[in-house]
Amino acid sequence: MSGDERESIGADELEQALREYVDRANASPRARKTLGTWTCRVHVEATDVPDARFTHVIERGTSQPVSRGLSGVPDLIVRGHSMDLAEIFWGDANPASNYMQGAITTQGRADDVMRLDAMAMFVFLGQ
Amino acid sequence: MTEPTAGAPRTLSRALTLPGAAAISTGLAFAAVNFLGMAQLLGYISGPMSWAAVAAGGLLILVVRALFAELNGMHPTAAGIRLWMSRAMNDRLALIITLTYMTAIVLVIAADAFIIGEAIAYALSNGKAVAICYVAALLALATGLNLRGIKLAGNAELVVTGIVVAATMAVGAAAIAHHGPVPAGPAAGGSPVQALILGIFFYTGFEWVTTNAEEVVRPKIIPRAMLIAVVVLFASQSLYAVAMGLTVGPAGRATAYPQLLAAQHALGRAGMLVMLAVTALTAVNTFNGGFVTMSRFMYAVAREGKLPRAMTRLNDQAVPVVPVWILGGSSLLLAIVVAVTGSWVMVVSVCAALEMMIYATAGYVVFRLRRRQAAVDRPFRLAGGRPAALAATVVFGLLAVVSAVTVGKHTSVTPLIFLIVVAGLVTGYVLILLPRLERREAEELAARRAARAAARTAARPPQRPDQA
Repeated sequence: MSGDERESIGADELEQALREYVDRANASPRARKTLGTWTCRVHVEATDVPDARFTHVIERGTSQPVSRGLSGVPDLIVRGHSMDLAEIFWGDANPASNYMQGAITTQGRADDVMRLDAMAMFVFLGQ
Repeated sequence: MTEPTAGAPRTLSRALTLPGAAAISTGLAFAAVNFLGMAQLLGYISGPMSWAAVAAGGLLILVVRALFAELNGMHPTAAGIRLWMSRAMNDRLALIITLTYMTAIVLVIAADAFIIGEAIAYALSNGKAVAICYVAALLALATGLNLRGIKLAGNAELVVTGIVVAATMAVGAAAIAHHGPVPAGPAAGGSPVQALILGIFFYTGFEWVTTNAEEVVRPKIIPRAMLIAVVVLFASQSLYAVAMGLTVGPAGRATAYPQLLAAQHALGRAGMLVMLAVTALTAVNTFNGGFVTMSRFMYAVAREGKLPRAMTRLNDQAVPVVPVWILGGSSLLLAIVVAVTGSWVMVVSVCAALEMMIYATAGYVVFRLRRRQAAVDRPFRLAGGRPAALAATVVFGLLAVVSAVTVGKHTSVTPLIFLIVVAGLVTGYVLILLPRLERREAEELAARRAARAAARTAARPPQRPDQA
C-alpha cells in the first residue's frame, strides 16, 4: 500500500465516484431507514491529490449533494490514497478491510465510522 | 500505508477531551471484579501494606502505558490492536490472539454481573437463586439497552466514573479512620509474584481507551489520559485495599461482596448501600464499554470478512444485533456457571492471564515494529527501545503463565485448560472456517469489479476504426 508507487485518481474522477456512491446510497431504502436518525458532516481527503477534498453531508440518513472542498466543522474525517477511496466508492474494495489494514484512516466518533461503513454495506451488499 | 495529511489536526465537532478520555480509561479498568482482586490480594499481603502491591503493579503498568502510547501514536485507530499485531506478525496469528483476548471482556462482564447480583442479594438478604435472577435481569437489561443503541457518552461517562472514584475513596477513608482491631493477615505462603499480578490486575483495561484515539484532536491526549487513569486507579484501589484489609477478616474476604462488608463496618447499613450503588455504577461503565467496544469490534472484523457475515446485521438503531446477543448470552452463561460453582477466583486468574498475554504481545509488537516500521513517525516512544520492549514481553509472558496456573493461593491448571480450550476453538475457526469466508469475500469483490468494468465498457462510446 505504498502511497508513492500507486496510480493516483484525479480529483474530478474521485468526485464523480463519490457522487455516484451518494446517489446509490440515497437509492437504498435500507440505508435510509437504518441510518434515518444519523446526521453527519464528513470530510473526505485524498492524501496524494492536493485538491481532492470533499464535503459529504448526511442529514437524517439522506446524503446531500457532495461539495468540492472542505466546508464546516466535520463530525468525521476520512483520509486515504485517492485510489483506495475511489475503490471504496466504486465498490471494488471493502472499506472495513481497508480501515483495519490502515489504508484509510478516520478521525471522529466510532459510531459515525461504523455508520459510514454500514452505508457502504447497504449500497454494495444490499443488506 | 497511506499517511495522514500533513499539518495540524483540525477541530472535530465532537472531539474527546482529556477529562473525558481519562474517565473512559479509568472507568474501563475500575470494574466490580477489582474488589474481589483486593480480597485475594489480602491473602498474600497484610492490609496496611497492600498499597505497596498496588504501587508495584502501577509501576509495571506505566511500562504498558508506554507500549500502548507508542503503538497508538503510530496508528491511532479504533482497530488498533488488530492493526498493530497484523503489522508485526502473521495475520492469522494476530487474529487468533485478538479473538482469544476478547474472552477477557466476556469474563469481566459476566463477573461484574455476578458480583452485583450477589451484592444485591446480600443487601436484601436474598438467597443464591434470587441472586442468579438478579444477574439474569442485569444482563438482559444491558443487552436490551445496547440493542436500542442507548449508551453512556461524553459527560455522563465522566460523571459516573467521578462518582465511583470519589465514593470509593470516601468510604475507604472512613473505613480506615474507623477501623477496630485489625483482622488476621495472610497465614502463610504469601507470594510476591501473585501479589504483583493482582496489583497489575487493578489497572487492566485502562489501555482500551486507545480505541477512542480517532475521537481526539491532539494525539497527546490518549497517553496523558492513560497516565491520569493510572494515578487515579492507584489512589482509589490502594486506599480501598488497605481499608478492606483493616476491616474485613478472611471469612468476609472469601465472599463475593467484600467491598460491602468494609463499607458496612465503617458506616453501617447506609455505607453498605452506598457501596452497593458504587458497585452497580462500576458495572454501568463495564457493560457500556464492554458491550459497545466488543460488539463494534466483532462487527468490524465480520465486515472485514474474518467473522461470519451474520454478525454485520444491523437493526434500525444501527446496532450490530448478533454480536450484542452473543455477548449477552455468553456473559449470562458464564455468570451462572460462576454463581453455581462459586469459581469467581478462577475468573480473576483467567482475566489476569489474558491481560498479561496481551501486554506481552504489545511488548513484542513494539519490539518488531521498531525495526519493521522504523521510519513511521512516533509521537511517543518507549524509553529503552527494543531491549525494554523485549524485557516487557518476557516479564508479562512469565506473569501470564503464573496467572494461568494459579487460582487464589493454590496451584491449579484449570485456568490454563480453559484458555487452551478457548484458544484451540479460535485457532480451529481461523485455520479451517476462515479461509472459506475469505474465498467468498474475494469472489464477491471480483464479481463487483467485473460488473463495473463491463458497465464502463458498455458506457464508453464505440471507437472509430482509425482510432483502433
